[in-house]
Amino acid sequence: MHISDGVLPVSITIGTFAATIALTAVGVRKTKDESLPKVAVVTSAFFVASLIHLPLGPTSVHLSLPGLVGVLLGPSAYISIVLGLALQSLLFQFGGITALGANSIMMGIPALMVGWLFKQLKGTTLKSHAIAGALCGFLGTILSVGFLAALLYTGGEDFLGVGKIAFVASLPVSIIEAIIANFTVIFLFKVKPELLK
Amino acid sequence: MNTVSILPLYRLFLIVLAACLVLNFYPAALSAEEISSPVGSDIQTMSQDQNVTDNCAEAVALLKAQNIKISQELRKIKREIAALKEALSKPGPDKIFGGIGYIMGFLGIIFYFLARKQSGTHKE
Repeated sequence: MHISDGVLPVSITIGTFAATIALTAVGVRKTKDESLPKVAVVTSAFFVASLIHLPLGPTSVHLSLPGLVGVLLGPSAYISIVLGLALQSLLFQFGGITALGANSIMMGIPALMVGWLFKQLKGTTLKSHAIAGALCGFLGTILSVGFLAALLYTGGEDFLGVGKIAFVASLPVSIIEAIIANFTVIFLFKVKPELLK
Repeated sequence: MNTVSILPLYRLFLIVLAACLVLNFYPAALSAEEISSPVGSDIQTMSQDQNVTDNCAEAVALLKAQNIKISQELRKIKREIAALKEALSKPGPDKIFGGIGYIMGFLGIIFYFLARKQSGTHKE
C-alpha cells in the first residue's frame, strides 16, 4: 500500500506535502523531549515492518503498523510515520519521494486518529487496554485504506472500486495487526505501563 | 645472537612465499585446463584426423549435440540471471540496518542537543 510517483495530480501532491509539513510541525511541538527515544524505537519498528511479507494466496501482503504507531506515540505519531516512509522510499524504493506527502497523509492521519481513540477507550484495566489496542490496530490499517482510495480518487480512479479491492486485500493484514497491537499493549501494560500513558 | 633467532623466521617466510606462489599459479593452470576442455575441442581433433573429416554426417551430428548442450547451459544461465535480479531487487540486511541506524542517529542527535540545552553544560 504505497502510492508511487506520478499517480496523483500535481495540486494534490503539493497540498499533501503542505499538510504533512504542518502536521509534522504540530507533532514536533507536542513531542516531549524525554519521549524521543520511544519515538526512535517505534519509528524503527515501523520502518522494518513493511519488509515482513505474509503469504496470502497467490500474492503476499506486508505489515504497515499505523495502528500500533498511533497507540504508542499518540500525537508524535506523525513524525514517526514521515521519517519511516522517507527512509523506506529512499532505501527500499517503496512509494515515490514526490508521493511522500500523500503516503504520509495516508498512514499518518489514521495513526493520529487511532492514537486519540486509544486514549479515549483504554480505561484503567488490562482488559480494556487489550480491547482498545486490538481495535486500534485493526482500525489503523482500515482507515489508511480509506485514505488510499480517497487519494487515488483524486488521480482519476474509481473510489469504490479501488476501495473494495484494497479493503479485501488488507483485511487479513488488519486482523494480524490487531493481534500484534493487542499483544504489544498487554505486554507493555504488564511490564512498563507508563509507555501507554 | 640476533641472526640465529631471525633465521627460522626467514625460512618460514620463504615457505609461506613459496606456498603463495604455488596457490597463485594453481588456479590459472586449472582455468586453462577448463578452457581447453569444453565444446570445440572434439572438432579440432576430428579435423586433424583424415578419416573422420570425410564423414560429414558425423560432424553435423556432433554439432547438433553441442548446440543442444549450449542451449541447455544458456537456459540455466538465464534462469540464474532472473533469480539474481529478483534477489537484487529485495532490500538486503545492509539497507535495513542502515535505515535503523539513520533513524536512531537522527533522533539521537536531536536528543543530544536537547540534553545539552537542559543540563546547561554548553555554557562554559
